[in-house]
Amino acid sequence: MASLKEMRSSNRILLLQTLRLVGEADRATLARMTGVSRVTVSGLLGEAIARGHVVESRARGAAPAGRRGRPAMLRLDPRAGVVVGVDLGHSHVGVVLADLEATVVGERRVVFDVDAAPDAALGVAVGLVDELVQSLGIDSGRLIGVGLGVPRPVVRGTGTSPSRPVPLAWAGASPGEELSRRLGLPVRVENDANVGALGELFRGAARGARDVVYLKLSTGVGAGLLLDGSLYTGCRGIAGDLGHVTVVQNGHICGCGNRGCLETVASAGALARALAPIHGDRLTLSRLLELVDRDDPVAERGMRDIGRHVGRALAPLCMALDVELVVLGGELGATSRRLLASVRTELRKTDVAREPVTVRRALLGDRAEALGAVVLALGQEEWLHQAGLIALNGAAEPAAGLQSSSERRAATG
Amino acid sequence: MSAPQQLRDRNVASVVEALRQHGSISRTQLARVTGISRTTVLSILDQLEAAGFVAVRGSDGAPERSLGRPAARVALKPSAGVALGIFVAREHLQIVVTDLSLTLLAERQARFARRPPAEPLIDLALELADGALEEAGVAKRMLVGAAFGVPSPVDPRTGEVDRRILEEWAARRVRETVSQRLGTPVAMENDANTEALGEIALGAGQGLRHVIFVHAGFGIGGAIVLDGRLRRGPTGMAGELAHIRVRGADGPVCLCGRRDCLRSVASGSALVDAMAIAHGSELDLDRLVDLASNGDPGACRAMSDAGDAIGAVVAGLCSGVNPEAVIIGGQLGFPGSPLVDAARQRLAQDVHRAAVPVTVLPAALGDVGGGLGAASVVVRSGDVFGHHVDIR
Repeated sequence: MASLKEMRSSNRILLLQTLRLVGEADRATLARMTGVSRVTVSGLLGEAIARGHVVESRARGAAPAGRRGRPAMLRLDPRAGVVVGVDLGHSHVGVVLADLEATVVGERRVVFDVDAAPDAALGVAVGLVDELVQSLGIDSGRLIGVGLGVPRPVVRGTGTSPSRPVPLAWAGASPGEELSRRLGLPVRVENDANVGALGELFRGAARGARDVVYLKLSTGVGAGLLLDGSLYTGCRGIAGDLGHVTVVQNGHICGCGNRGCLETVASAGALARALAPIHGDRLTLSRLLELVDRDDPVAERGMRDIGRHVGRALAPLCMALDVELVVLGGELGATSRRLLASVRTELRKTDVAREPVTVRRALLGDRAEALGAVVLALGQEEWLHQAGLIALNGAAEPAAGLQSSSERRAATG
Repeated sequence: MSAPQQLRDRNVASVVEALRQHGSISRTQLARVTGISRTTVLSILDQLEAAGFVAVRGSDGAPERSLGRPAARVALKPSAGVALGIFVAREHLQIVVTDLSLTLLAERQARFARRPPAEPLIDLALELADGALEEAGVAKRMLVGAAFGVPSPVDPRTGEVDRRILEEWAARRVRETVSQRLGTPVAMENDANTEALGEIALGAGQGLRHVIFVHAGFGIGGAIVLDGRLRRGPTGMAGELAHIRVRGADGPVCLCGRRDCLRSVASGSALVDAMAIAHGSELDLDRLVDLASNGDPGACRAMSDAGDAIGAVVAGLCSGVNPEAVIIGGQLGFPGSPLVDAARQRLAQDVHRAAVPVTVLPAALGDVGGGLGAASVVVRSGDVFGHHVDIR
């Protein structure tokens, strides 16, 4: 039999998890939802309020005439903790600080050649975090942990990248461990497309959806998979690495050693190569974006071709996983109507018996990754536990997924 | 179903599955391997024990700690109940009875040239089930549940099958009828999904958590297991691989009206058609497999071309899904099959080099895989055991 202490702790777990899931509830509702007695609920909530983890408020709206006021509503105090989202791109470093409901309290972003100096980039991130914490007057004791997005696949367990085909400057280095050491906080690392997907799910184009492929199209190609409302990363954490799906039979040789990978035909570099005969060979990403933006016919054609390849790479995955929504993000992915139309056309050609996959452009622009990194950090229940904010339940708990109460509300609201 | 109930069922299913895999195990280890809190595990075990599904054994195993008494171990009582698997295939019906550890107790089969309509088929299934239960020496009341494997996607929103495939099937009514007549809950699952679960429980996929399963038979089916759980998808179409396009195949027009679907290139029916010029229209799939097994170059070529196409399609999924293994079953997916070898070669070539090499395995359960898979749907199901467990 479970001891009295264990019972009490497991009831506390149940209460706080329930609050986290529903956002807000009164004592009677909590007792009903958890099956814990009213007396125990009141006792446990009293403790949690005293510790500053739960706040109590009168419900909005006037009480109906002739009745007592509505019962007090309880919720987790969002200011009880602060999480950090760090977005390392190929050429920028972004940092976001947010409360427990993922409301942004401060953010910074600087241009930096991350690929050339990954270690220095971590230093820049640490500097930005310190600067934000100081300028906002945040008690550093309230910092709980860091979600970190990096522009390459991340192998689970080690937090490192597979050695090929990513640039060697990053190979073997574990940015998570290093950042954790420098900040003195736990860090969870994910690939940039994965955190981008979380960002779009939380407050972007994928809000309310449960089964989504977020495709990031920029200097490279990557994808994040959201299945049943949670990030899916595969047996070693590298699911969604779509850049190396073969899309052209006997196509160009890719850096990974295969032929005709998606990345050889659908990336900024590929677009620049396709446009070079007309627009010259000094096409930077910003120049490409400008051409796309002003409906240059050559760039339009280039984007349509990219869309066709992207659609072909996505179709099998969408069919095999029964995905309802594709979100196109990244600088190139989110900007072009032609690309959107062309991906849509290609996906409509899939199995006629199925409901068509919806294709949307991402909404968060360059903030998707940092916001997603915040969501990633908030999904780490054990950090919240270590910070004394929640008791920890088993790993098989659905709440151990990535949906916090605020996400859930965002998803339904 | 409410969220706590779903959570309970999932936790109960994890505990039962771990007990099945590990045999007898200490409570502490059980909490560790399931990742569920000790308190919850203890509560689930207490209640499963009270319901008679779990037995506590003395410390018969090796001591768990160096000091003090060795921890008591718990185990599933295999004889506490039986599961019924009903597998509906194109040309046969298979019924298996297993105990709770999925040990096969009895099996029955019926073959037909053309699948009968739902009603007579159900009657036949129930008749065979009676015979199988009798052979196993267990009473109907010992059934903890029954599950169908059917050749159609099952829509989780409605519980219905695709009537273009299974004419006259009202899945809900079939479940109700069978449930009433057997006195036990009845589940319905897509055939390839059940086969995949069977392979993971007892066959080539034991111990694996991320698997793409391909059914290469007369038709093409598939299933995807992610993190140990079947991926059904919002419409139940997850894992359906038949109408994924094969790159550059330039092949025949498919039933769906498009060209180059995997089904029209690599299914057994396509292979039989492709062999007709050389071997006449008498050739059927069994004969094709015989020819290939005896090294007939035409049959081997047809099968390896099909394997190449399957490999190309699955390779396109591997970057997205990141599985540990691809298991190929069905009539054409057996150990030594030229189709499996060709799929393996294609995957080795096409899958992203930086990814973990994906292992390609032939299914190991053979003929009995479908029925055992259906039975495994029953013993994996949280709600079978879950309703014996209160939420605390």
